[in-house]
Amino acid sequence: MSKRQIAMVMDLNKCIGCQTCTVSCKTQWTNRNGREYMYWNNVETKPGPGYPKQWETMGGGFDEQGNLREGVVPSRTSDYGTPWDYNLEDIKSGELLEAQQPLKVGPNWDEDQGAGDFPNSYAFYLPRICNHCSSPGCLAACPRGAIFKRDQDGIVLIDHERCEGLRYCIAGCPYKKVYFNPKLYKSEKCIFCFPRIEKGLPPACAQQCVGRIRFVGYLDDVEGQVHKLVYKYKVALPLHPEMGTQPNVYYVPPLPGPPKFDANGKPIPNSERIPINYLESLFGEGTREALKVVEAEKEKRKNGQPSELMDILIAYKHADMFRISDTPQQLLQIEKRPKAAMASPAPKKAATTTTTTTTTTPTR
Amino acid sequence: MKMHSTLLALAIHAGAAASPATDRFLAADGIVVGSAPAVPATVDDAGWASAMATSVVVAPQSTVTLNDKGANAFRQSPAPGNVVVRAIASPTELGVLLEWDDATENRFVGETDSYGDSAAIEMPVAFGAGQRLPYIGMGDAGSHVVVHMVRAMDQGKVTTRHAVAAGFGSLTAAPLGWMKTGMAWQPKTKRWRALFVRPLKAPEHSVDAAIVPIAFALWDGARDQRGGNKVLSAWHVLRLPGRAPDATYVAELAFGYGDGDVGDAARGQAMVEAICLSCHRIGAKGYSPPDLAPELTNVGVLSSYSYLRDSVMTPSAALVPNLNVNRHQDRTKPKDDNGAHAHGSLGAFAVNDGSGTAQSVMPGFGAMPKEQVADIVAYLKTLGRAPSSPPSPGATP
Repeated sequence: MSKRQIAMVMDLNKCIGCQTCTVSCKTQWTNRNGREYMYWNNVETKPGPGYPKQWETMGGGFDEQGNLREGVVPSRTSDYGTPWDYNLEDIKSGELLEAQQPLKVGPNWDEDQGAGDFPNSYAFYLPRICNHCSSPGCLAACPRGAIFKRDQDGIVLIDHERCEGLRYCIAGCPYKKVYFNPKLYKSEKCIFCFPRIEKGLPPACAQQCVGRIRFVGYLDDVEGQVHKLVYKYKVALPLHPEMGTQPNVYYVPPLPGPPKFDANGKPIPNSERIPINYLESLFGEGTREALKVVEAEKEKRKNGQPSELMDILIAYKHADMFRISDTPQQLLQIEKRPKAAMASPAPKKAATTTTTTTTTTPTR
Repeated sequence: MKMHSTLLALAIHAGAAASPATDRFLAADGIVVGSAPAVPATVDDAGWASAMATSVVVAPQSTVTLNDKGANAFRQSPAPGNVVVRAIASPTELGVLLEWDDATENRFVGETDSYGDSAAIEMPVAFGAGQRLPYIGMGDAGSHVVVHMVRAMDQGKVTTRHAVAAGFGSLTAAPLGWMKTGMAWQPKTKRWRALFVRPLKAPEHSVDAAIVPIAFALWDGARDQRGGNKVLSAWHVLRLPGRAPDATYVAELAFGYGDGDVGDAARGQAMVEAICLSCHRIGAKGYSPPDLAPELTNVGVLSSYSYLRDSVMTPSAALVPNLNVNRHQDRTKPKDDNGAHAHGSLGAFAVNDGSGTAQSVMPGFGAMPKEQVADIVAYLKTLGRAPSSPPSPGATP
């Protein structure tokens, strides 16, 4: 649908669930004007119901024949969860801390719960933004033609001039990453920080990530780390590929270790603490192969051999992790443009599909 | 009172009635507009009692299926109903009052899954002799409509939307602020009333004519209805007072009410089942995947005789616009460089053949004997017709 596609890779082995990404997104985009309940970026604990609660069972996406599936529109109060107040004034006079509203569900209600029994319990974090899919369910569902993919980078946006707040996009997104703004009576979603992208900067969530788990670049940029992780090493996989929307956020799945313990507290060799079947249910059939590659490259590095993959995953430099503009010259031109012109899309890239950028100069 | 006029008209027709086709048409599809020095300004104005109440049949939009599980579940129990229409013209203004049953008062209360009860009227941008009526579902590329909608909001507020449209998905907000609206819940009768008052001559649109086509749509928030999930009527005509109708235009609109216009529904059914159900579906009946062609369950309520005739003989001249072709992927075609699927042929009712105008993918049956077309039209017109029920109680304001 678009000429080029920008993508993000998240290395789940390094996500510590600190929610810095969530906060950077919220303070930039969703702390006001009807968006207060929304988390365009959230970090949920897996296994678990996630955000909104049980989103994986809410339909949307495409069936095996490629037909858009029915889906549901989540409820703000029972599925997303809303903030609540505490009696903070009263605790000064010795009262116990108490919530002022009945607590039913919150956006991260099941944090760190995971699955399995001690000492073999397990959990990992799954940060989620809009996947800016190549075949978006939201775009297919909109009866108004209000949702579009930008030609120059494939970012999926909602045209508020055309959006009538009908919410079929929310039902159509299998990841439940479109939100209804009740104040504006319009649907809204992660915009991949496109004003930052147009200035050559990565999305705020990626820039602020403490664990440096996020890589951003164009899929057709063969020199880029995103391209290498997705196509060269095939260690970065889309979430729930069976939904048929071809997501453009990719995940390096978590390694299944450390080993489980037996009844005597001894490690069971080659045991999988995180069941691979579970990981496969999230990341599809490439999961086992991806984990094998990461393990093998890890071993190489342990043995003192060079490993490009390990060097990439270590994430030495933002400059290498984020390859957004082709050349510093082009960037400079964008910076020089008068302010009014900033609203228009970035200049068309000369490189379109399989041709690649040859620059090795990082943008930041 | 025009209760289930279609049934009535067919009955009259079968009995070789003496009255001319235009009289039968105006009796069946006409809404008599009263005359008053001024249009009553509010929904509860006693002045509305002077207007003749016309009951118009509405049926669920089922031509295309949208993707909301909740709304679709409610569609499994479709409820053909009616809306009572009253209209009054003053020397300068036209007022249309709608009234309909609704068990619950649903307002948009600021929740992600809350939907307000709504109503809308639709009128062609251009109408008159030689001008065919637009497609009932928000017009088509060749024949545009103006739409005015009211929606019940929180704390007794009402939102009004004005728009122009040329088919599904094309609805575009327009600053038609000369249309004044109102909407109020009647707790005693459990009925909504919605009011639309406009100048006869507005800068962009005039209704200063003897015959003005109009159609109605209602949305029930309790059934998660919004957008394409709604009930709607076929085209009707407002008969404004003190003006002589253009005989040519009325004769064009009256197709279906003349002797021999429409054939035998039983014979038509056999043909529809043998031919049309190869691509179309009527609920569970049909041999094709859903969305290959417009669904026909309620086509008889939503369409005029002439539309049904044209859609059989010259489908490209009676086009059902595409909803969103991306709802169906073609998995047999290769993906593009970014992994995007090509869209499939399902849901693509209209294709651009390079001539610049969209063509229907349906083959035309222009060569079919007229008697057989008349039989098919007779059967299609029975589809979705409301079972006979008494006129709405409490229709007097």
